[in-house]
Amino acid sequence: MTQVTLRDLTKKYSSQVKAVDHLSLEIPAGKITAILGPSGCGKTTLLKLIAGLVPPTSGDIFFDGISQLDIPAEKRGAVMVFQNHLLFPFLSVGDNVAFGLKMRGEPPQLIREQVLQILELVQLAGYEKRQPSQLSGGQQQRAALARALITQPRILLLDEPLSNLDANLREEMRELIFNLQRQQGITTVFVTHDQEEAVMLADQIALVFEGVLQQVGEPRAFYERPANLATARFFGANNILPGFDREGRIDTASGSLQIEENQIPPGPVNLVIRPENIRIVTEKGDRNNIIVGRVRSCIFAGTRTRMKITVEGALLEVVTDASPLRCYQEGETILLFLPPAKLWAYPAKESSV
Amino acid sequence: MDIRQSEKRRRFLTLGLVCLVLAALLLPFLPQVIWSFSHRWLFPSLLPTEWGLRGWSYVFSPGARLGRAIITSLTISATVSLLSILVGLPAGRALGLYRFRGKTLVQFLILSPAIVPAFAAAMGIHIQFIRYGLADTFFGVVLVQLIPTLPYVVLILGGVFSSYRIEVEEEARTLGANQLKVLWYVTLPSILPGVIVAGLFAFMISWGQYLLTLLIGGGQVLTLPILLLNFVNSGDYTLASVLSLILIIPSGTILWYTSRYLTREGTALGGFGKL
Ligand SMILES: Nc1ncnc2c1ncn2[C@@H]1O[C@H](COP(=O)(O)OP(=O)(O)OP(=O)(O)O)[C@@H](O)[C@H]1O
Ligand SMILES: [Mg+2]
Repeated sequence: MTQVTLRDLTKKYSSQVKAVDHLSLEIPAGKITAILGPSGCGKTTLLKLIAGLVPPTSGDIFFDGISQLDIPAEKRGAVMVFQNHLLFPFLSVGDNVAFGLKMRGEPPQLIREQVLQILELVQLAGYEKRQPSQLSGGQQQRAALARALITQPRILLLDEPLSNLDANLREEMRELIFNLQRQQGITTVFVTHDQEEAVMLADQIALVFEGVLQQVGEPRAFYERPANLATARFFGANNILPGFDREGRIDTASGSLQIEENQIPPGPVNLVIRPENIRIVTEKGDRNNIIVGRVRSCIFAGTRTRMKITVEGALLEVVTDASPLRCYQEGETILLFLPPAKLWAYPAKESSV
Repeated sequence: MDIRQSEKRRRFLTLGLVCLVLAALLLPFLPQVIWSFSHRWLFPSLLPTEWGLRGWSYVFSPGARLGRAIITSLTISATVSLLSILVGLPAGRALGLYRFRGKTLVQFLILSPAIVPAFAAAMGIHIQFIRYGLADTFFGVVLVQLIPTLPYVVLILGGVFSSYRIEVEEEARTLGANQLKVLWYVTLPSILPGVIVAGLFAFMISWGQYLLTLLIGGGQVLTLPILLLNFVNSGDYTLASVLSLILIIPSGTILWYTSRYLTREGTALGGFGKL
């Protein structure tokens, strides 16, 4: 099991294109780490840097504390599976899977045994004689995975392993990757633009925007305490109330609100709350953080109800259980409770992506 | 009944068309075939007045220059196509895979020998070759024949590489293949169909060269076309016809082979894509 450390890693393709920007990251041994970010944010580049396929402009990469900068790709033991499951089209499935062992010069008998074994593991037993073009997309993906796993890599790098599959195949593949990783304990880094995928599969998520690391942590952290406004919004916390921080209380157009932790300096802020953290209440009582809103729309969505509510200075989205069973009328006045623990304040000058 | 009749008619039409195409391809060679078996063929008569095997027996007679000419032609064309591939591979790779400033200009320059008659350039080259002792030599002829072959080879290989996914190589690297092994186990097998087609093209172009060989080889390098022209000049149409028929054997074979290769799905045909 190999631990990977990225230290202040930068990759510029040209003076304008900075694909990875001063990125430092610990990738724990034997765990699954997701590199999450929108298209073009440098995810593939990051994997290629780890694999040794492109040299960094500056910074360093360590496997178990040993710098890899002078070690060529073929000696790093970091196997990359590309986005478009690129099997070698001129080799049979079996020969594709055997490739890594053949390069290592293992005896043919051993290679054959291992190929059959690993094909079984990825549910492709009996397919070794086929040509890659005779496999379905999902099968190609599994063959590519087998080709990587057979070499028992120190690090497994998966570039968007699920993006080319349709929904049910995706779930199957996700489980396969998860189970294989748990079985073999390979340090795994996978890239995705789908936060749901990252949350379900990863032990640790690293969120990257435009080559810059935004937040690292377990999936939960991204819902409980996003590091910045952009992160909060990427994970679906899209209710923003502009306000002004006055030592403990925050003045907004809808009134003065309290928040639980407030480490930011006084000044203009953006208050953010997740749609499911807003609670609808029937009476104000003597509680703080109750604001008045007007229902703009109310959509019954099976087990949940989605509402758009206009409050002074903002349009809020609220998601509640459908259990109240009362869909509100458009224009109806409604009271909203914004729990202080679930309200996050970010300095307003922070740009939103 | 109607259907069967129209089916019949369609089959008949197809057959007719195939025959027509074959005739158009093969008929021009009919006179040569007749000539090659003639012994005497004087003007007004439609067919040879005397038939004979003089032409063909010459081919198999020991001591004839023909055998040597065939071997010279084969070695020259093989060397030319090999060299064309060796030069064309990196050039085609650069043109097909990478975008760089001035690419259009480079493309034009590479193509230009195919547009400008090579003979024009060869005059200047001849003078240089004399200076360097390359004139009248086998290697000099090989070098000058690269002028007409290279544009096609680079173009074909450029097309091959333009549909090539370089990630396949990167994938192989991470699986433990060093650069040499990547070249041998990944790059070459991927582009092999295109390389074969390009090589055959170069072979065919070189095989038919006459002027360049004559100019640089100075009559010392005796290839099949040169020998053929000798016979034509001396008015021996029987031998000239025999030779011309031998001359088209490789072209016919190659044509047949590539057409089979090209029509197979997803192989070298992709090689003729855009750069
Ligand atoms: N070889 C290259 N030369 C120049 N620029 C490149 C190269 N590869 C990538 N880039 C640029 O670097 C940036 C990051 O690219 P990268 O492929 O790493 O993004 P990504 O996050 O993997 O995107 P996607 O989700 O679309 O695959 C992009 O702006 C891209 O245009
Ligand atoms: Mg990518």
